[in-house]
Amino acid sequence: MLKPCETTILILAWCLLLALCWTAAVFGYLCRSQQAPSESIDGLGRGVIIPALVVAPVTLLIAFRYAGINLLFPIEIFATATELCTAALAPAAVLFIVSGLAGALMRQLRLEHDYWQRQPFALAAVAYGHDKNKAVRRIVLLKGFVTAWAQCLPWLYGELIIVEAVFNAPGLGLSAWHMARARDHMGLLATIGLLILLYALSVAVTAWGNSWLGRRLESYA
Amino acid sequence: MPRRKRYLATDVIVVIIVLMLALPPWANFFSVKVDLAHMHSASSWQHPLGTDNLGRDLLVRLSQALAQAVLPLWCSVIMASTAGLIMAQVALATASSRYSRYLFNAFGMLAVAAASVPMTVTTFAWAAWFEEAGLFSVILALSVIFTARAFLHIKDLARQSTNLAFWSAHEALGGRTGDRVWRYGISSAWTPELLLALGLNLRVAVAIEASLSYLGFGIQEPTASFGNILAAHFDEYLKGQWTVMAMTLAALALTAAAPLAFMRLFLDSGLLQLITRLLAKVNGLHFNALKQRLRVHTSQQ
Repeated sequence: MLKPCETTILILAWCLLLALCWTAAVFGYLCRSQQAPSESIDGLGRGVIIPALVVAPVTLLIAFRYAGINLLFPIEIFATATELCTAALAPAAVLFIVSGLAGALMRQLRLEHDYWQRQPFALAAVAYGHDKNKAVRRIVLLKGFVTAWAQCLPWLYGELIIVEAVFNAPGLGLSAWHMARARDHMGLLATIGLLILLYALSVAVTAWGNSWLGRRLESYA
Repeated sequence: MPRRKRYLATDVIVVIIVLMLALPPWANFFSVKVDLAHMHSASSWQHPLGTDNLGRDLLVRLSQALAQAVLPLWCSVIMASTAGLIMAQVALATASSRYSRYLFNAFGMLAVAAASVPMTVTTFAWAAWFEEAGLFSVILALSVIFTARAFLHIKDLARQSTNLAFWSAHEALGGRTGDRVWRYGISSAWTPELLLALGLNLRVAVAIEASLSYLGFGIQEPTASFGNILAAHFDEYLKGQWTVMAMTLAALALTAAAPLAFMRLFLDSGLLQLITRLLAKVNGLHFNALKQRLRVHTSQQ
């Protein structure tokens, strides 16, 4: 049986895994397509980021009605650890989309790919007959991922409550909701505090990642 | 169709649909009374978008959600952003005075604390803590957050602009910080960024309000809100009656997209360039007056 904190961490871990897979897929696509970047700074504001309240029920309904899959979290007493782990995938996938992480990763990787492949070391690699994409791969993947993750972190935590509520995932968000409905103010304070602590921890790790990357970038400059 | 034109067409369509939903007094044409004989009826001349689980006209309910929940929220977000902007300008203009610097540094720290926690979490905690049903607690929480965010945004932009040559020139000529922030920042170079940020804030406010109403902490029945309409029909989606959900989600998605679409149309329309050009002329006069004053001062010495 999972504790609320563990469920939330599980969902966020799935989100991280999805983000990593998506990063690799987008980079692969960028390398293969070799297209010139069309997104300008003006383009950053474009696109509709759809709220979780729109995506989550639609996903639930489509899966239930048309694929016969129940995406609601199983009742924990009867569920195995594998079932619980698998059940966290659907909320994580929805969270990954509604937090804007999927879009941000695509945009950021495209910008980084364009920027770094025009740098002298990438041009030198081409001059020596090496693959340009191979030369920029590490820096583009790392910088694109860390930047997009840092941008979307508040939305990941912000939309967590509604995603957990819709999918009935017994995480910190759902606990906070139940406590608020039961007017358990101290419990609510503790749960929200824990959620904020988890968020602060994520921010700290992201900030550390950014500073580490900054030091690495100095060697490229 | 070229990319830019396609975006333009999408933005125009989104804004027109939302205006069509919000502006006409649909309640005068269609009945919003509870009518259990016509629950979940399909689209017809009497009910263009069908009816909900109590037989009320869905078009009127969505229109009311927009008018009673979203528009007050948007007004409060605009006012909060304006308040944050004014406070930031005052803070920057009076930064030379020691006491005001302490005061605004303290406010800045509070603003950082308010803006650093995810907005949905803060608003949810606030609304749950005060146990007040309705829009007031949501408006209050979002107003505080957006004031803080606007304050920090302006301070950040000012910090970035300090090293620009014309800012230094203006400072060297004896111009005041407040003048620089207004003339070279808010009314000219920062305007597109501030407008897009406002559009984003309005979109976020819609999503947060709908989420809170869905969770039962925002607007309550019988007052309409996208969130409580969705929550009231949740069981029926799973039974296959998804018309209400589809209509409400479409209206919510379009309403959330409308502010940014409107801002982009405004920026693309050329109206902003016209205003900026007029303000630039005034700024030029101000700069010339400063130079003249400096020249007189130097000749007197």
